Amino acid sequence: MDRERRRLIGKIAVLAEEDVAPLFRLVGIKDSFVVGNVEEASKLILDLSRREEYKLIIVTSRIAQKLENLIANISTKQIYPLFVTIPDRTGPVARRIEPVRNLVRRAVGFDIKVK
Amino acid sequence: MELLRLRRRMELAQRAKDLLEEKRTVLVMELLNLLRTTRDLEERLEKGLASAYEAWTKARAIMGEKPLRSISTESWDRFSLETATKSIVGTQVPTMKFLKTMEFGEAFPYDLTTTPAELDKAVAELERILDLIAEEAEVEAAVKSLATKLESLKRRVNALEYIFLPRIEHNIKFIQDHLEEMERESFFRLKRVKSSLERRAREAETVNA
Repeated sequence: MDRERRRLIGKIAVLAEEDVAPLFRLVGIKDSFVVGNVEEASKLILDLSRREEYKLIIVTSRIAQKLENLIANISTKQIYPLFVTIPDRTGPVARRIEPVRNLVRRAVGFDIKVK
Repeated sequence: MELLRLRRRMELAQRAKDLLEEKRTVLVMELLNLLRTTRDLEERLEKGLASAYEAWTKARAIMGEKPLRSISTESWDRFSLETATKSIVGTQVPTMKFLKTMEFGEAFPYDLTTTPAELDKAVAELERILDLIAEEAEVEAAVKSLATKLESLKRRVNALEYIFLPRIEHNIKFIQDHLEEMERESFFRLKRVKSSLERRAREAETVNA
């Protein structure tokens, strides 16, 4: 008996710097916002997170770093929106493997080596 | 009776613990798998994004300020997200997929004749990595869910191993010691009764003799 899997349609939002957001808009993500400072970004993230239709929020790395705590907070309280950090034009993202390793280390009790 | 019951409970608890530890091993392996996937994804994402950004920078250099400003506010709503859940080793994790609701030809946000080819390249490159972004979101969410599940499993295993099982063992030992003591006591009592019976029997004999 096939269980009916609920498929929901959601929206995407992007928070990026002034030189990156327009590109996302041109690709076809209408809700691509330019954020200049931390307050703006926090307010925007909180607002988007409260609205159920936003299921994915893409944030560039510099902004994500500053809002690390806020994002972590929201992620523990609700599943959606999912947050993804992407590298901005200045280079690669700070390795996010580290906090995950800590999580695993705490959960498992021993450290793991990831190649 | 109590002893039998306790022994049964200990056996069950032991088996439960073994099962949980097995589950924990499976989770750890799956988690390691996911972490490896995430590293690979991040690499591909970085490469794709770098190439998109490069084309974008070139395009903007060619275009100059005014045309740039006018397209900077252009946008179209071309994608939506399809979300569902799936199960990994017994845990529910979200899935997401980009759905294209419009093809490249329809309702274009800029004029193809007045913009450089690099612009199209930048847009195409970015579109190509959108799926990677969705996949990355999936994997990260899965890692979080599994790690949480792992932590709760660890707590349950520890509770069984350090609290529940020792307590049962202790109770079993207590009852066993007690039974043993009672047995010893009754043994000696029997001995005493036996020896006094023997004495009386001997006395009776000498009287009759």
